[in-house]
Amino acid sequence: MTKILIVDDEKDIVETMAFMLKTKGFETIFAYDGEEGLKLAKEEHPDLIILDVMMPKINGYKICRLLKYDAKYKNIPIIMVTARSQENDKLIGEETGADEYITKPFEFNNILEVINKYTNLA
Amino acid sequence: MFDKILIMANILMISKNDNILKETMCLFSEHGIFNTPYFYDNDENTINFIKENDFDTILIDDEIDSYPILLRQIKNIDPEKNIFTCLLYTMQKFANSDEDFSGFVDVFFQKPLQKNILISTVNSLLKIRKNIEKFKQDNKELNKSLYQLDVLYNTSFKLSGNLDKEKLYEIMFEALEKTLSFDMACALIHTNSRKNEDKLIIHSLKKPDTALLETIKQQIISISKENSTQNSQKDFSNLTIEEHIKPSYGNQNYDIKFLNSDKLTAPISVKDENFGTLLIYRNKPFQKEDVVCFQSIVHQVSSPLRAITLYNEIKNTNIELKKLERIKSEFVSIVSHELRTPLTPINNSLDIVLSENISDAAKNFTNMAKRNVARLSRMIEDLLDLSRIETGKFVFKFNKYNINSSFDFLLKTFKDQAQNKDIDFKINIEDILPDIYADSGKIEQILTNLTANALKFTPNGGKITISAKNISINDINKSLLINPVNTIISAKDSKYINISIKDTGIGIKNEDISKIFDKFSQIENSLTRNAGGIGLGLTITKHFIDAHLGAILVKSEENKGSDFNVFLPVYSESKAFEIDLNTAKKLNNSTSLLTLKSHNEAKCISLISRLKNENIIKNLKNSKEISYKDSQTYTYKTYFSNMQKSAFDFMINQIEKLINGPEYTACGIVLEKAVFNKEHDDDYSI
Repeated sequence: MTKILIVDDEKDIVETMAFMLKTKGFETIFAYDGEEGLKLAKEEHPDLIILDVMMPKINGYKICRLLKYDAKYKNIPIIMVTARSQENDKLIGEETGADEYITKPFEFNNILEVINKYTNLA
Repeated sequence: MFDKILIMANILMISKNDNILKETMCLFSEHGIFNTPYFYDNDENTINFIKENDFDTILIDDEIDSYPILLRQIKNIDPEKNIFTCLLYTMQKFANSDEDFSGFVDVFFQKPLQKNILISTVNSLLKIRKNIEKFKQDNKELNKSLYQLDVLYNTSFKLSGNLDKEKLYEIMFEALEKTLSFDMACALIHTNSRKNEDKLIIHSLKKPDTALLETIKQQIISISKENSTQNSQKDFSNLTIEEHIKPSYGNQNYDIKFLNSDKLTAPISVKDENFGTLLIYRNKPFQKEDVVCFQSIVHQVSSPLRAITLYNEIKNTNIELKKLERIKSEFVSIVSHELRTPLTPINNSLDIVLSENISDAAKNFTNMAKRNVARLSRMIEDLLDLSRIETGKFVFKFNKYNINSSFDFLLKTFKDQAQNKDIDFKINIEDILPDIYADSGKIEQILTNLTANALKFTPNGGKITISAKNISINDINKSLLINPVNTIISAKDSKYINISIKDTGIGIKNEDISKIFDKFSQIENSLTRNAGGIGLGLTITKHFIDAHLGAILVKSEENKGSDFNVFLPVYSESKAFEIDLNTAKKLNNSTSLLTLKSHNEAKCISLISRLKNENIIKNLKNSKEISYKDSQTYTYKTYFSNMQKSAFDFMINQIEKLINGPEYTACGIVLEKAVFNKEHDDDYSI
């Protein structure tokens, strides 16, 4: 089963997203801050990571960079999720090595499309 | 027959002949000329006697053998004063003498003395003396006036452009000291007419003792109360005293006797407004011209004081306003972000409910909830956009872009809504549209806003037509433009695309057309509350169009419909640069990402090294620079921070030169505001 890690400090977002992903047949694990997210990513080696940018402890960019510059994890697709106000986040996100970028608030179907794109490849 | 002044003359007669002494004394006295006979004893005593007294004319008898030496010594006593010397000589002696008398004998009288010659000559001498004295006095006064004028001129020079109150009083005291050499000058200054913030500034040669200081304080307060009614009720108990004492007098004090000095006083005021009172003391009495000088200094100082006061008031109000404006923008920004956060879980939850097996009614209402979440989300985005516009944080990502894809997007977005209202919704692209230089997201927002408005204000069964065509700048009726942006007029490239969004809606009154782009205009007019929305769409739309160096034109007829025309410049290298530069200029330049693009790699690199050498770009710590090159363009990117306005302008200027230089080089600059949390400050890598 495809394992997806969701890292977001908004518990409700994590919970609803996890529920929906489960109904689509994904296994989900989640973390509510950057530190925990990084730990889980390394321990669980998920098939895909959905990563929020603004988070306590370690922000999304840093996690993304740490993973993408590490040969062991650089193949895990990362989808960055951020508020539209930080438009150049997209630019930074892309150059940090994120595979995709989605703005909040987003439709579940949009994120599902993106997830399918990466998980079907695998 | 003699002038009065002759009485004031002071003549010395030196001889060892009693007869001559007596004879001349009688003669002078008879004619009312004050004189002193001196019986010669020796040179030393004679000279000392002359030094002790104040003679202006000295007669000397040639019977005194040492008279040539004596005369020379007399002349040398005070060369400035120029004592007239007269020699009483005998023909025989004179003829035998080979002495050269020039320079130390002014007049010769032959003995025996001819009384009338002696008297009339002495008389003439005295007249000359009087004229010389008068001339000297005039000259002195003239020099003094010239000096005062010079100081006044310099003072006005120093005062011009000065907007600092403290500095102004400094200049005033300096001018007073130079022109009037006062012993003490006191200024009672009303710092703020509403508060009791008064200050007594004292500049003095010696320190006034406690009793004197108290008396002077009371004096100046009472003068100030007489000067202005606004001071008469004032309580000066909180008066602060600032003393500036000349160090050269050590511990010497002025005591209460100092009040016998001459004094001058004047209010420092413009029209009815009183800023303070000036009081100066001088041991030496003030002359008429001193008073004039005093008054002109006070006058000189008063006028700018008013300007300074007004300037400070305006400055403070302005600071306050800016602060409020910033707080408001920040508040809107924070609140909007917070409002938006719950929307994602709400939306997700609704999606989950919809994916369950639920009744048609439940499905219907859940969809309604979803539509309203979307609507709320749009309004919050509008608020956020507004706060971004106001704080200069808007980020544009310009690219070569073909607008056709935006029309597809429009059709997809609005087809259903139009159908629901039974509106005939058509998109008509008349020409093959060239590329524009645009931020595709913003273009879609512009078109979405205008189309949503058309839908909102067009009643059921109406018609909305969106069309696009090529147009030349000359075809645009510039007088109708909402934003007669100077750029559209001055542009070298005259090709535009014209997008028209035409509806058969309620229309806009002629006088309201210019107002609809102001923020919250809908709320303010509340003419269309039933249409919903918070009235920010057009404000944001206009801002976006401005950023693309485009223009907007509105034709409308009440109850018949409106036609919104957007003009966007066709892509060219220079237009793209113009747009980038315009965006860069408006950017709030704290921490930004700088992207430089150029066809000429060498030039681009040399510009970057120059900007760095002159400390105009400071790379952030932990910030990397990257540069890369594709077939044509060299690109350089770096983060920089805290650029001073002047440095920023310089950079823009340099880049402008680069593009306008003789070797034409296409060059683009993109500055993007980097938004980071404080706690993530170290993350500026690209």
